Amino acid sequence: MIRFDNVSKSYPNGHQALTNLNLSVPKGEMVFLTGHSGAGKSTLLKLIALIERPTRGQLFVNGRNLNSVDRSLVSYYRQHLGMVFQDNRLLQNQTVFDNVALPLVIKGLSKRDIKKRTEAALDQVELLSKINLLPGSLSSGEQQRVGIARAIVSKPMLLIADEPTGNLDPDLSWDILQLFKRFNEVGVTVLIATHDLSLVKQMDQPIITLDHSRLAEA
Amino acid sequence: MARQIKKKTTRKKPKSTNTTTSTSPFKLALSQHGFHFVDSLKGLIKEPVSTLMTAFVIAIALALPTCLYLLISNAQGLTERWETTHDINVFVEGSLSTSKLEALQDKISQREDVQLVRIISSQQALDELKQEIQMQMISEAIGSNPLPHTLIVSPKNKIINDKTNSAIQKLNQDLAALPSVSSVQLDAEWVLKFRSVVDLLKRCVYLLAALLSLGMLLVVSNTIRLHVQQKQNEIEVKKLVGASDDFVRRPFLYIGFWYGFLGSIIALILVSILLLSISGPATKLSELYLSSFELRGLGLSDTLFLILFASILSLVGAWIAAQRALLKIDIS
Repeated sequence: MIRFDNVSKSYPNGHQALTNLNLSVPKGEMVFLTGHSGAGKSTLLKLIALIERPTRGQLFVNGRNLNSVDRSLVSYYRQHLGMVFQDNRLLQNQTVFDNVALPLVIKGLSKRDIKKRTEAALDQVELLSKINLLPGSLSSGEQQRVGIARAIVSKPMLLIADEPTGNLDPDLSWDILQLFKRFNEVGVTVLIATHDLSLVKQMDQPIITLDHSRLAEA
Repeated sequence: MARQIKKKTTRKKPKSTNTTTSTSPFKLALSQHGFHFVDSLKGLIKEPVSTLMTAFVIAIALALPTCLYLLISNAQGLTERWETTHDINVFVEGSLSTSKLEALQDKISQREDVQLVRIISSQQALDELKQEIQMQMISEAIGSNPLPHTLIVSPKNKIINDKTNSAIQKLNQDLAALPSVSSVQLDAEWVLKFRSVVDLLKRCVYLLAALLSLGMLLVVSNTIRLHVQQKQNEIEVKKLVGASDDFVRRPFLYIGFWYGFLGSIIALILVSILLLSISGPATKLSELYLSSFELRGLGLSDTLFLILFASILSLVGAWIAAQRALLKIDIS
């Protein structure tokens, strides 16, 4: 599903975020990406989301070389990718429904389909009862679940998450990871960046560790 | 629970591809436009004070040249009513004999640009004067008739309607150059002057309208720039979940459109209020001079033009601002 082929990324300020990275994540896997802060986890996810471009090397997602995706096609590419953020990045002035429905509105689905699929996504994160509330009135765990519902509402093949449990206590974190696990079980490839090693170890899933912009030996 | 989800997702997968393919590009665009069209208006209504303030600035920029335009078109309407007074009075030396006077009349009426020439002899003129005023005393005191003969020359219509006034001025000069003509007086001379002033004012109004339109463009541009800044987070999120530049830009274009539309409606109301408030005095004034003068308002085509012009201009302003601002927010 994901293949990094000798990928390096350095930022204009000279910071070397990734160095000669080779790795692959098979289709249908759920993989954790760990490492100290500044090791390059976020950069790796940003490359997959086409928020950043590699300085060198090639990156394939679902068989497609991302270097060939030019600027005008980035939006289309992202429509097939689910993204979850540490700070959930919800629109605070819009209801839970509108937040989750956003990717479908962008895709231009009919009102009826949007309603049906948004409700289904919220049902899967068990927040159907909060559908008309504003994100501000939800707990942080619930807000993160809304963010996850938004990521999976357009049924992406690949779900990436950057520190999705970063702001949550251990119990909530465990619930969130279980949620990701459930989506993985229905065939979605999941890549989660986190520094919470103890939690990751309990999940019993493959782990990729980054150390100072390089792949660490397992 | 896990099994339940599995069931749901597998059940819906083929369906979802189905719905996506069945949405035609046209329908897709239409539904997205409809969404933003209404959504942008809702957003503006949520902040009525700032919306109205911007709309009023636009309205004033529109109302000012519109009022001047109305003033000028009304003034033009006035000059059209004065066309009956285009006769030229040609004063001929009083000593000229009747036969020579008639010869002169023939000569002038043969001109291509002349419709009719009437004679008022010095004797006739004196008789009329005597009837009008009791001035036997004076005429007796003077002794001989001091009045000249008068030829009243009516030019043809095509000369009167010639907006450049050059033809009527040429006729005027030609008549003055004739032998035994002592002086020529164009009744409508001041009408012609008035016309040139109106013409000049018209150009000034066009220039002013152009400047104020530019001002309006900048006002909308700046307002939209602030809107974009306010929504920076929203724009970033939209881009992250796959929104195209078009999709992100569109709400701002509609906001621009609404500003122009609201501004033009308010401008029309302002102009109507102004017309109403001056129509009373204007009618009173016109009654003193003309019997049938009516203050001319904006016609249907003028109204539609104003609304369309303002909406499109605001749209352009919004596009410029949104384009510039969005390039800065580029996350990729």
